[in-house]
Amino acid sequence: MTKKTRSWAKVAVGAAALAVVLSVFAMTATAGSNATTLRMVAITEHKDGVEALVKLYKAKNPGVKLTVTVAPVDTYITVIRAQLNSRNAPDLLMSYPGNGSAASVVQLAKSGITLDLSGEPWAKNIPAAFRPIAQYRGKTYTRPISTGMIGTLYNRAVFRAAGITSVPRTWNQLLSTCDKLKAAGKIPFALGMATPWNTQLITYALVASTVMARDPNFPQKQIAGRTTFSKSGWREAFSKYMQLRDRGCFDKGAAGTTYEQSLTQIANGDAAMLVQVFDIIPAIKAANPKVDLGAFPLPGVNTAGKVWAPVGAGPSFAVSSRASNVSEAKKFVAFTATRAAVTAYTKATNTIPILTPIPRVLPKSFAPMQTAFNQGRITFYMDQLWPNSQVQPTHFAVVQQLFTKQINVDQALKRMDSAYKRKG
Amino acid sequence: MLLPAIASGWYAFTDWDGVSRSASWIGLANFRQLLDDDQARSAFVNTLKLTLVVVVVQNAIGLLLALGLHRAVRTRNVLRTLFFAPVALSPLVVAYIWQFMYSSHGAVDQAIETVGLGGAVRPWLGDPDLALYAIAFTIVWQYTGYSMVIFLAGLERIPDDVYEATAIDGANSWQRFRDIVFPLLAPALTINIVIASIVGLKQFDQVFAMTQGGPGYATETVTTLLYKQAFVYGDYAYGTALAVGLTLLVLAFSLLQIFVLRRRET
Repeated sequence: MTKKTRSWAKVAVGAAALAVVLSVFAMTATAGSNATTLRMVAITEHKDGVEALVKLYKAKNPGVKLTVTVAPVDTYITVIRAQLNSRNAPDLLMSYPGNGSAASVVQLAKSGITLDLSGEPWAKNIPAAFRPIAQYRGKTYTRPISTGMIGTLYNRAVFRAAGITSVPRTWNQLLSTCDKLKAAGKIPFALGMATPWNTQLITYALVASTVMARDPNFPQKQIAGRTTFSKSGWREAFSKYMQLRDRGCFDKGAAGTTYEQSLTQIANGDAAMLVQVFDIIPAIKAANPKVDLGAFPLPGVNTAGKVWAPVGAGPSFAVSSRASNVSEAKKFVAFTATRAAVTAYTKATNTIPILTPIPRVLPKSFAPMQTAFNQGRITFYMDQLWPNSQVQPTHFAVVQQLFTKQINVDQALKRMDSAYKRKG
Repeated sequence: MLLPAIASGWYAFTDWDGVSRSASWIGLANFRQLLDDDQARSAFVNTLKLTLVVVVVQNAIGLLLALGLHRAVRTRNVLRTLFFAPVALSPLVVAYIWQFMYSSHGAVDQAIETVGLGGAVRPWLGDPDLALYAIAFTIVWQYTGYSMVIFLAGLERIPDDVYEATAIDGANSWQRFRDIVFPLLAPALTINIVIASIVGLKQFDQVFAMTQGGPGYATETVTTLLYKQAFVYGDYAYGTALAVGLTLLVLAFSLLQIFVLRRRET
């Protein structure tokens, strides 16, 4: 072989090698382009349910790559806005039902962050009671999956050790239970007052009885300007909240206790009760898998039959208006409307599935909550019907101020009324 | 660097919600709102209080540490590293660790009870009178090492013959420090005060992580308030107006301090 022939041979071998490499890349790229990618932003406090849904969706759709980013509820809306502003919008995001929260269906739709899904087949089949909170100006933006309840979770072992054989069903019985637990050396109520979203739960649980049970049309009257927080049973609710404080029903350091610490307190039996949304039960069980929990509605009044409980549709999924994969995102939201998806999510989060008919799913130790639900002694979470996103953070702040004696009940109610009137 | 800042500042004169594709010009309305807003006023006061405490305490302790570690102490290099180590940590990590330590029955409470002062235990981050100072302590803990290093550099520049001369003149330690060392540390003091002031005025991470401005609004600073206005309430334009106000405050403070302290140096 001559020198010239050898150099041509080298070129030929090099070209062949390059062709092989390029074809491998081409095949890889082709294979990669068959995989669909969906990006989701979800709320940390609901991640157990999200993980259950994602697992099920991936099993049914193996060609879809679904990446999930979670953010705690207090910073969730910041993450969404930052991603939207940096042209890094997710395809799917979670939204809270109704209005009131910065991440609610109304606020997100109003800002143009989410897509109108009214034309989707599942939109007509949302149970009637839950349709208004999935809509803004008559258009549907999400499919509610679960309904949670705010109840008084209690550590049954701590109750037994303190000689308490039945759960309190009236306000006076609650105070008596608190006294017995204090005498037994336990913290009657764990309270994560230092974490803002925790401050609202006892108010909501009390207002269900002191306001909504007496006047179920209160929210509509308030929007119409015919009543205010100051003129309503909210005054009684705030007063009773502080009565619990003054009676020593909370830990001395409750003002500096975080949400995570409050879970540990009830999980470990240092505290007996915790007023919370049921979605967080997996987090309590993670702290102590052997904890035996029960639940009852917080009795805000002295007539057992007039004790109501707050019920609220939990967050559900919406399609981002700047999604890069709109069709697949809509397909995921349609999937969350299926019986299998709703069942998986609610099982993981100890919530009630929004199906027709609504099945009986709460454990036996939660019987008082199930009874309240079945008897219709329930009302929506208060913020879902507020007209703007400033009332809720104002509520958080005034509860902290009340608890630390910076303001009185009158001043707290005035601030809430003032926030209610702001532009939404 | 300048263009994004100017572009952001423009939004302060609009009604932009942070997400919509358009914004309308509303002139000085946001700034008028800022002047009328009790919450904004309170946030500015909290910001100034936090800055004052951090600047004074951080520099006082930093100076004492520098004076102590400038001497021929055997372990001085190890000690210098230990005191500087917190500066290298993420402010968020430090905030969460201290939040845990300040919690009810946490490490701080246990330490106080151990020395027999159980009556002094408080809900450190839940007490509206203490929370701001508890946060200030955390910031001082983290950044004192930084001040120390700047002061050490200043001390290293003082010639040995100055110390010898004062010894010959019969000056005691306090006289030497007051009349010679402290005046010669003027450049280091200028740097430390200006930097600590700027950092204090725009402090966000520790405040947000530890209290989110609570309890109530007791630790709300301008930065946490502008964050809430922009990202929680959706009033991005008003949040930007607060940011512009803060920028002007930082600028005014820095220029005033540099003017006063540089004169002192000469």
